Amino acid sequence: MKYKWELREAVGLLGFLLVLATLYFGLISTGPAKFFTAPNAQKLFYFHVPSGLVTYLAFLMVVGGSALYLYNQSHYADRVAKCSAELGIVFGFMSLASGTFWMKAEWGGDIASRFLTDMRLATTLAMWILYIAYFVYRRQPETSIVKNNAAVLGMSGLIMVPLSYLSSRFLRSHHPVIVGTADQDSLDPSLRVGLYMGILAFILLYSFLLNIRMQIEEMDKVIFSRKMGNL
Amino acid sequence: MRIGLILVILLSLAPFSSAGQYCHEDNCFTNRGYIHLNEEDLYVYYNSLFTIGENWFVVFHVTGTDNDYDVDLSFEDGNSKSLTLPGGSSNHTDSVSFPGSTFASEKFDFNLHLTITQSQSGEVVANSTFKIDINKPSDDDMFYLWGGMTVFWVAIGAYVLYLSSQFRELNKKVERIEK
Repeated sequence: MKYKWELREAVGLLGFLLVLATLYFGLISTGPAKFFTAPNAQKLFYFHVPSGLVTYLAFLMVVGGSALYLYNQSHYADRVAKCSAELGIVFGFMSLASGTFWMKAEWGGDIASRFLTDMRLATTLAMWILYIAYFVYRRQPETSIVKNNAAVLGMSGLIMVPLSYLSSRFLRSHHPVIVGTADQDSLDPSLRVGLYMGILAFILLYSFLLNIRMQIEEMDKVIFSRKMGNL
Repeated sequence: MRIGLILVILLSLAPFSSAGQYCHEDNCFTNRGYIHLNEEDLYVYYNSLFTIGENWFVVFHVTGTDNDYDVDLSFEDGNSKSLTLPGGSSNHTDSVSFPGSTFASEKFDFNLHLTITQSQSGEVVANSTFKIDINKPSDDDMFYLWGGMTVFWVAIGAYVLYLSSQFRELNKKVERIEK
């Protein structure tokens, strides 16, 4: 069970260093932001947005893996879906929790009612809970029926991810929209550098952790088949 | 004895009280403008940042005044104040203040027009424009920043620990099987 440690470690290390660079850039190198009620809490932007985007990426990988599994019963694709869902939950937690802290500082008000009335928050929370259900469902012996059902459940991201992403554009939401709008060009260059650095850092960390998680899954499968062979 | 001790503590804290908010000294301001009038020098002191909720002052210091001058200060949205600098003294200092409720929202590079007119003749002797930023006071939002940042490290750290324990457990299983 040899593995290419060099490449994976390099990716992980680069991701970690970029997280530190983003942290330095966001917290130390730039001062409190203008135009915000909570100029210090605004610095969560450099981690909140990248973790949100990586959550979408992770859940889209679940959709892709599930679709491929349903198409040709690829066990590799099923493993990608299973492991990526776990990471989506971790990054989703980061995005939701940091967003809650930022929201409380910037918008104020009652957090629970914000989650119930702002469509971006409501749909993102719903998507996250759906994949927790997926994760819980997969914690049982992996028969082909379980895998099939999980793949169908995983495919629901095909609706949930675009719904969450586009909700702030078309539904009632206080959440700002940056990507793909005129605001993207007007984004301050200093914000843009930190944002892109954060996105790259989180994508690298996601790749690194997905790789490790898949190796664990593979080891587990090998151990299980050896045990079965010994019986 | 105890009352005396409390008095000493209160007196020692007195210099740190909030009276500094109404400081009119020159060194209390971030910006200084200079305008040469007919025969007088006029210095204008102001802060380039207007913090909503706090009074904002402009101090005028004129040297060698022989003439009376009317000073008119008006923001680009129409808010204005005026005062008269009387002649007849070698030095004169006066000020105007705008209440903290003058503005409700943030504005940047906001124009403040200053017009100085000689009272007797009505002649405009100086016209100038200053730019200031109008900002909301910083909330005590550091708690939220650190709360949000902690979430990242706790989440990543907990997940890496979980993966590491999984790895250890599986390696032990592999060793047991190989034996």
